[in-house]
Order: sequence, then C-alpha cells, then structure tokens
Amino acid sequence: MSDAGRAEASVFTEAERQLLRQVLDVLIPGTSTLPAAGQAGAGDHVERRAEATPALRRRLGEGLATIAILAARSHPDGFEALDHDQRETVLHAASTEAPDAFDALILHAYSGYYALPRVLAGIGAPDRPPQPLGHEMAPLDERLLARVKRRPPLYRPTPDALSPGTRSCGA
Amino acid sequence: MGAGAAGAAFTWSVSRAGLQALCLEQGDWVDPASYATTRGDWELTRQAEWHPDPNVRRLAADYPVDATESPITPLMYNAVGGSTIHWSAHFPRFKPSDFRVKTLDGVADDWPLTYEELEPFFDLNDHMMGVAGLDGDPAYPPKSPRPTPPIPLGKLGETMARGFDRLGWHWWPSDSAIVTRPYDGRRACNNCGPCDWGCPIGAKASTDVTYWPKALASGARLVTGARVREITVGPDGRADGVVYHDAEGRVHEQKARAVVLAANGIGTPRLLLHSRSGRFPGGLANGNGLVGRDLMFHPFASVRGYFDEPLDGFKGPSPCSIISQEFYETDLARGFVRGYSFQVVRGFGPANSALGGLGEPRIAWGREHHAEHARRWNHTIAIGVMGEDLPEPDNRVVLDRELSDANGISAPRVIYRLSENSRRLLAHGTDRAKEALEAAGATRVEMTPLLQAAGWHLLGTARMGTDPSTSVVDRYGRCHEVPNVYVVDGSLCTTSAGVNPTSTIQALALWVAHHFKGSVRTP
Repeated sequence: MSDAGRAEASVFTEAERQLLRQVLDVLIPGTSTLPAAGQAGAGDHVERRAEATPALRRRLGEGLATIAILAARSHPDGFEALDHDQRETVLHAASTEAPDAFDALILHAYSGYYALPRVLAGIGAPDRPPQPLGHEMAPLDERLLARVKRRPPLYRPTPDALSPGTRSCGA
Repeated sequence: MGAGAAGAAFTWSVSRAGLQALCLEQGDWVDPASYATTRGDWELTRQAEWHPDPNVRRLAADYPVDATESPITPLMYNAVGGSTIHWSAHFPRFKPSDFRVKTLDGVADDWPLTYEELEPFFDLNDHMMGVAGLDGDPAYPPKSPRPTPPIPLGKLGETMARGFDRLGWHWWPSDSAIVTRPYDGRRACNNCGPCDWGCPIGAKASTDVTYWPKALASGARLVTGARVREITVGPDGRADGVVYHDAEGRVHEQKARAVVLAANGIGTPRLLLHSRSGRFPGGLANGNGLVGRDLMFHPFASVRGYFDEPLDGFKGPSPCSIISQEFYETDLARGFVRGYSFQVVRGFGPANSALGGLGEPRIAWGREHHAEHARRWNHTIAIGVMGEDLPEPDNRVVLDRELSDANGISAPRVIYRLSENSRRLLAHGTDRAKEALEAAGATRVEMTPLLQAAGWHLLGTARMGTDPSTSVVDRYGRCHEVPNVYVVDGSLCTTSAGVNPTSTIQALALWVAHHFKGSVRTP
C-alpha cells in the first residue's frame, strides 16, 4: 500500500502495522524460495480487509493488542526484541487468549499470502485468478472407459421397469 | 415462492403455457461480473460474503437457521438462481430403485411415482439446463444423449480412474450441469476450476442464466427482495394468496389462485408452519403433523489421498470429475441398507488448501507450514462419500421460539441425528475410499467421517405420498389438505437417494408443473 493510501485508510497505526508485519513473518516464515508473509506484503491485504469491515478492524486490533501485551511480559521492548522461538511462544499464547481474533488473523494472513503473485509463482500455481483465462485441458479419452463399458448393468431393476408398457432396464 | 432450481423450472413451464405466474424471491439478482474468480483475492470470499452457510454469510437476503441440534449444517443461498448460484453442478439422476425402496429393501416408503414416469422430465430438464456427460454408464438405464461432451478428467481424474480400474470398480465421468460446448447462447466451460464461486461466463447452469430469461420472456413476473411471511387462506379453506415483506420491510398482500412453494427443504416447511390460522392452528397442510418432519440431508464423509506427483487439480470444474457407484445398491452383507456414491473432487486453490476445505484441518502456522502446504496443494485427491439418508420423523425442522429474521419471522430450527444405518454406511464408504485412493497411488490418506458443513441437500420435509395420513403432498406435489398449495422443491422427496438431488428436484418441478397446467383453467 502506498504512503498516500495508508494515510487515507488510517486503518492501523504505524506501531500496529509494524507488529502485524513481524507477526506475519512468524506465522508464515520465509524459505529459500518463498518470502515470509510480512516481508512479502501480506499485511497490506489484511489491512485492506480491515478497512472494509469495521468489525474485523476491531477484532484484529484486539488480537494485535493481545500479542503486544504478551510480548511485553517477555521483554520490555516488546515483540520486536524477541527471538523467533519467543515470538512463537507469544503467538501460541495469543491464540489461546484471543482465539477469535487470532483465527481472523490466520484467515486473512493465509488469504493474503496466497494471493501474492510472487508466492503463487513460487509454489507453481498460476499467478492470476481463475478467470477469464481458465485452463486448457484435453478432452476425455473414452478408451479409458473400456473396462467399465463392458460391465453388465449395475442398477437394480424395479417392478415398474419390468412391467409391460414401460421401458426395459436393459439388464 | 423461491427463484432457485425448482422455482425457476416450475415458473418457466407454467408461464410458457400462458398461465400468469408471479414468483416472489427474498434475494436479488447476482451480477455474474461480480463473481470473485476474476480477482486476485477470490479465495477469501468463500470464507466471508460467499460462504455457503447463511449464518456465516449474513447477507440481507438471508435468514438465520438454528442448527445447534444437528451435526450437519444446512447450507443455502438466497438469490435469483438460489443455491444453483453456489452449487457444484453435480447432476446425477436418482435411479429407478430409489423410487422403490420399500418394495426392494423394506425400508422407508416407495414414491408415488416411478423413474419411468419422471424420465421425460429429466430429459427436458437436461435440455434446459445443459449437461456435460457421456452416454453408456452401466450404473443407469440408458439416458437421452447428453447435450455436451463430458468434462475433462485431467491428470487428477485419470489418476483416480486408474485406482478404480485396479480394484475393478465402477467409475464414470460425472453428469454435470455445465456446458462444455457453446450451448443455447452460453459459453463453453473454460476449466477455470472453482464452480462454486459462481460462473462468470455462464457455462455452469445456474437458473438465472438457464430458466429465468426464458420464463420472463414468456411473461412470468419475478419480484426480488420479497420475503413471504405467510400463506393466507380464504373462507373455503383454500389458499388465496400470500403476505410478504419487501426489501424495506413494507408489508404487501398478493392474491393468487394457487400457491407454489419452492423455498427449499427448510424454507418451505418454515413457511407452512408459520402460516397458522384458526382453521390450521398447527400450520398449513399440517393436520397430520408431518410438515417439517423426515428431514434428510446426504451424510457426507471426506477421504483425502496425498500423492507424490502434482495432479493439476486446479484445472477443471473443481467438484466434478468422476462418480463411482460401485456401492450404490443394497447389499445387506455390508451391514447396512441402501448405499452411496463416491464423488472425486479436484483440488482447492492455494489459500483454501491452507485454510482447509472439505474436512481438511487448517495447515498450522509456523516453520512447518510450507512443507505441509507443499504436500497438500496440488497433491491431493478428495473422495466424497455421499450416503443415502433414510427418512426419520424425529429429524425435523421446527420454528424457533426465540430466533427470528429481520422481518420478525420465526427462524427455522433443525433437529437432526445421524442414524445408525447412515453411520455404518459412511464407515464402509470411507474404508473403501481409502482403498481406492491407495490403489491410485496415494501415499497418505486422511478422512473426516462426517463432514459438518455438508448440508447442501435439504430434503423430505413435506414428503410426497399417496396416503394423506403419512405424507404432506400427493404425487402431483399438491398438499393433501389444501389442494391449491403445491410444493416443488426438495421438501417433497419421499426418500433421498445417494446422489445429488438437483436434477431430480427440477424434474419433479417440471412434473408438477405439467400436471398443474392440466388441472387449472387459464383465465
């Protein structure tokens, strides 16, 4: 999100935004081929969703506040000062203490992360939405059905099907 | 009432015959251009405004459903097109034996009509909706030629087909209400994947693009944002109209010579039960107390196989590839009566793979996240076990005493218990599905014995029968007690079969419409 966009949105404070980015990096860390969620920009997606839904904004704010409070118990300088293991410990505690807020955070973190073209390319997924291009696929090769086609009827005949004047079941 | 699968088919049929038809729909038109699959964040919408559960979605058109006493959550969508906007477009028919379960298996009841009687209406409906499929399936009597070729299997479908072949089991490309060639002014499917996010190109047969344009061209009227409150009754004991709320909450009275309910297996009994009067104190057409009873879902288990090779599971109509009906018909040696279908489901998108779909748990956050996502996304085949649910009077829809919708109409409360027969059936199905996935090469198999968010099919709550003491409507969908009130949705199903019901529900709606036209005089 651009600075102008952020100023206009005013969804999260700068402190919240920074904490969110650090939290996202723990939720989905980077690998040799994939970026960490915070660094990749998944936070922008979370913020956009929060901007669109005031209830979500409140819930996420509550979750971030819980994380900040729990982190402050471990280190006076908060989450940023913790090592990775300590950050994980704080997030596990937050998931218990504020389960709804944490659940919303995961939902939007995952949704945002797996919508990033760089991530999609990294996992081998199309880096575009399903439409309008769709996908090329070969038509069914009916030869695959040769065995099944040789089977006798599997459906049970009924008295209706067998009575005169009605269609034969073909058995 | 209701502009979904059945209401659209019925309205088209009667309006084409010159009858004056007015359909009241509490939802609105959905603009296909608004479907999320053209946007980068498309997957998220399934977790929010596009969620199939109205209690989660909570759109203005929705009403709450209390499902706290049911292990299966009812799902529905309220709009022009109804749940066909959301649906997966599975389009198998019920089979001949499904209409004769009492005669053949000694359980439940026979339907008051036969597969053979319904067959012309299946064919008509296939023509109207547009179907992809292949003739010659030995699991069915011969059917009319499928309007368009079958949907592609892709690598995922072919992998699973080999598994079924190794076991010698039945499989067949699913009949799907999707057109694979340009058809009736609609574009061919481009295999984009997520059908249940809505089809922006109209290849999937939602009734807003199939029946409704033709019904409106025939003179039918459709009022959206119209939530029916009750069916009113005249001094002769016959229905004389309805009272409904418009989108602003204003109350309107609409007179009618006949009233037709197409509000689904929960909405229809809700409305009948809400239509109380001095003459019908327990609700309309409910003198025998059966309205709302015999609720059937399709109990559904999910079995997921993980494969080493990528499967291209994001290509092709996601829910539809293969159906297997090896265990459909009764074999008492299995420990249960009736049977089930296997549905082979393609993969989810990357985000919903992480969030968990079809019973998969959410992938844990943290250092192992990527490894598990790599094992799951594009490496999974899910088999859905869809079992036949038998009617039981204690499984039912009642009116909630406290919960109500935005117009103060009592919400439905669903009371449902999974039967022992269904439990055994699903256990058999999950074991066999595991066997099939392993035969196809799965290196790991996980299962969800009963999927909670699987109440797609809402059936049986105004059941059809010949005996007025044991059924709500007759074989023509006409209420025994109030003969100018008709039911055309899943409520009238006498039994549930073990396949998706929409094809059969729509054929029934056309059947009812056919006889309705013959029984009324045009003005």
